[in-house]
Order: sequence, then structure tokens, then C-alpha cells
Amino acid sequence: MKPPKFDSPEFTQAEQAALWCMRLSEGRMTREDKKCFSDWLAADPAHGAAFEQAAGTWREVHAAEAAPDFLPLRVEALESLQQRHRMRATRLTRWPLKRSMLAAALVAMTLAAGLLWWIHRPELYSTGLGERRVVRLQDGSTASLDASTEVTVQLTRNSRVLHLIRGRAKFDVSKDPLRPFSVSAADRVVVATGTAFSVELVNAHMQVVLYEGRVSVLGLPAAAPGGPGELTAGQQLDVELPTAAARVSSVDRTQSLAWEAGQLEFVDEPLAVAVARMNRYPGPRLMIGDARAGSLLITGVFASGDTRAFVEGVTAAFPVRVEVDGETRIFRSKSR
Amino acid sequence: MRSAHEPPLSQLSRRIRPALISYFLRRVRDPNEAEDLAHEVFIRLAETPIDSLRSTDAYVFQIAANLLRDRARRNKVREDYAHSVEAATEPPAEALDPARIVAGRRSLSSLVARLRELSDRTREMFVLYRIENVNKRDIAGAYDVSVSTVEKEIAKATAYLMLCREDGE
Repeated sequence: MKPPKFDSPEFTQAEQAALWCMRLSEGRMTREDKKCFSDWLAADPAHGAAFEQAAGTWREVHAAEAAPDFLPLRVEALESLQQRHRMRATRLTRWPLKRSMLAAALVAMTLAAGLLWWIHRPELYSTGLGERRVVRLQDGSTASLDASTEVTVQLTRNSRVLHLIRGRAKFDVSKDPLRPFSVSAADRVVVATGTAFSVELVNAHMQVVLYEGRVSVLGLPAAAPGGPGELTAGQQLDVELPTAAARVSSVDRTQSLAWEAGQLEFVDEPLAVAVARMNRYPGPRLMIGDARAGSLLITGVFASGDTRAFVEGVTAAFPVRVEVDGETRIFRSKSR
Repeated sequence: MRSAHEPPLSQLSRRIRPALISYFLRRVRDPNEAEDLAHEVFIRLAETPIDSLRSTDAYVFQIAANLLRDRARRNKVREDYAHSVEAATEPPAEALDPARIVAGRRSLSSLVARLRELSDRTREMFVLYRIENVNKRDIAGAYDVSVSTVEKEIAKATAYLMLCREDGE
């Protein structure tokens, strides 16, 4: 590597100091580099002070990098990099290449991509109807899957990326500041450090419940009141998916974890959401017959999978009746 | 547990080398020697089992302080003895505890706010290079600019954060 020429008037002293930090962080210097560095330091006493400031600034940044406030910056930067790589790939194919070369390049790229995908392919974990599963991940985190749930997990050197495809899962995240832990669901990303939270997709809503620590939810409208992107322990974020309307409420932590113990608890929950959760378990399929029935707010505790008790309880306490159609039970509002 | 194929040491070196050299520089004055001492720290780190690297920063600076102490002992007869001993016995923690650095200088949110004041490109390049360990060439490739442009942007970002730091004092 040729010795850096930083002391041109093009750079301020602070920038020169930063450039030296950069050079120093990239490994052992050559004899020439060292000479340049000594000369630079000797040239002006202010240079040493500037260098100290630059190194200190970098340390501040590293001390902050795992903080939840900082994570959106990191996610944005990585997303931008990814997007630029994609853009670049499409731009390259527009170059006037000979057809045979293009074909060969495509084959090579496909093979390479396939190989990369194979090496880094996300792991899929799923549960069937009524099945529950706790997965211990390689990094020491655990994912507890509710019934009828699918989650993919991709652990790499720099990141832990999970994707909730359907259902609900609770994550106990082991601390690793160098590898942010994120769960995406329906284009929203939940980023966390050393924390416990659950993410659920139910009836075109995404719900995040935070039990411990802090998380940031990205991809929400920035101007939302109270900044719902930031949650503190004991809060639940509900995002309506088509509109991205977000609402934060507080939850009873032990109660909202009841599903892990095989119970479904509903507190002022729309019947449609309760039905979607019951349907993750075996038994007759439940359906909503009309919008009024679906939006009834119900409260109660049911054993997961005990559809009969659920139907009986709901019809006894709320103005709905049930229509039996083979293996399906349809809730319809009682005509007034 | 980290995966086994990861080279944690080189990542650590990238993160901490400038601060380490700055630490030595304040105490030994000679840049060549500061660089050699920093190198020595990483040799010692390489000899320790990976598991003990967990508390990284504090551990690295503890090794650094030990090296200075050894050096002071070796240089007993030299005239810089007094200076070295003074330097080596100075508690290293003052400049080193990351939590203290941030708390002392400014709040985390103002650091984030300063970064937000930069242009998207400058901020992204800085974050990718410094935090996500993406190398300059890859950044240059993705943004379709030269490596020296990337260097300029990172230097610009660092200088801007430094400026705010001095203002805050």
C-alpha cells in the first residue's frame, strides 16, 4: 500500500486525523506509513490532539452502536447497501455483452448465487395445527413457536435475521452487540438487543409484545403520535397492516404469555382475532359470519384446542349464535 | 456463542486499534513505538483462548497497561523512566470505559442526531465502514464511486462528529 498523502490542503486537520485512524484500523503499517505518521504528528502539536479526538470519537460511536436508538441508522445503511447492490446488478446486465458471454456469466452467477444461498440459506422452523415448539438457536437465543407458525432464521457473522411468515413466536434474545437481532413480519422490522418479545401476525394485524428490555419497530409512519416505534417492557404495539396505523397499549405480561402454557386469554379482543388464534389448534374450524360478529369484543380464558368450550362460552356471554356446517362453526350476530 | 469460522481478533483490531495507538501515544510519545506496542497487544490477545475475549475493550486496555508497566521496568536505567512509570501507573480506566465516555461527552441521542445531520450518503458510508465492517472497496463498488471518495466521506463524518464533540465541552 502506498503511503497515504493526507496532508494536502484539501483536508482539514480533523479529516487528516480521521484518515490516519482509518489507516491504523486497517492493520499493521509499513515502514513508510510509520514515517509519514511520525512526520505528520511532528509537523504540528495540534495533529496529536486531533488524532486523539478522532480515535475518541470512533470509540464513542462503538460504545453506542448496540443501543436501540442507534439501530435504525444501521438498518438503513445496510438496506441502502443491499439496494445499491441490486441496482448495480441490473445495470450491469444492460451492458452490451455478447450473447454467449452473457449466457456464461448468467450460468456462473446462478451457480454462485445457488451456492451462496445453500451456505447461508435460512433455516425454516414450523409448527402444525396445535403443535408447540421451542427452538434453541445457535447463538443461544430461543424462539418459542405457537401452533400453526412458521419462522425462518438466518444467523450470519454480522446479523441475526428472522422472519415470521405466519402465526406467533416469542423470542428470548441472547446479547450480542455485534450482531443485531431482528424479526421481520409483513414488511415491518423489529430490532432488539438482549431482550424478550413476541411477534404475531393475526387477521391482518401485526402485534409486538415486549416483556423485557427494549425494541425498535421500523417501517412505521414516522409521524405517529408518541413514537410507537419504541417500546418499553410491558407494552404492546398493534399495527393494522394495510394502513400501518399503529397503537401502543400496556399489557399484563404474565397474561399475554399464557399461550406458552397452553392457554388462550382474551381481554377485550375482537372475536375475529380470538377465532384466528383458536384456529391455530385442532378441532372444528371457526369462522366469522358477519362483520358485526367479528368486531364484538370478548374477554375470557380458554384452553388452547378446546373449541367446544370456546363456542359455548362465547355464545352464552355475547350476542352471537353458531351455525354448524360440517366441521365448520360459523359465528353470526343475533338479529336484534 | 459465535460461530467458529469468524475471526474475532481481526474485527476487534479494526475497532480498537486507533484508540489503542492514541492511548500509547499519549504515554510513550514515539509513534513507532506506539504502533509496535499496539501490535504487541494483539499478539498477546492471539495467545489467549477466544472465550476470554468476551469483555473485549476493558481486557484489551488491561493488556495495554501491563505492557506499559513491563516497558517501564525494562527502561529503568533510561532517562524517560520517571515519565513511563507515571504513565503506566495512571489508571487506564479513565479514558476507556465506553459508558463513561458517552455519558461524559454527550448523550447517545445527540450522537444519533449529529449523524442524522449528515447527508444520507456520508452517514451510510460511515456506518457501513465503522460499524458493519464493510470494507472501503465494497462500499465504493456499491455507491459507484472511487475508494478515495469513500475515504473522504468517512473522514468528513468523523470530522463532523469531532467538531460537535469539541463544541459540547
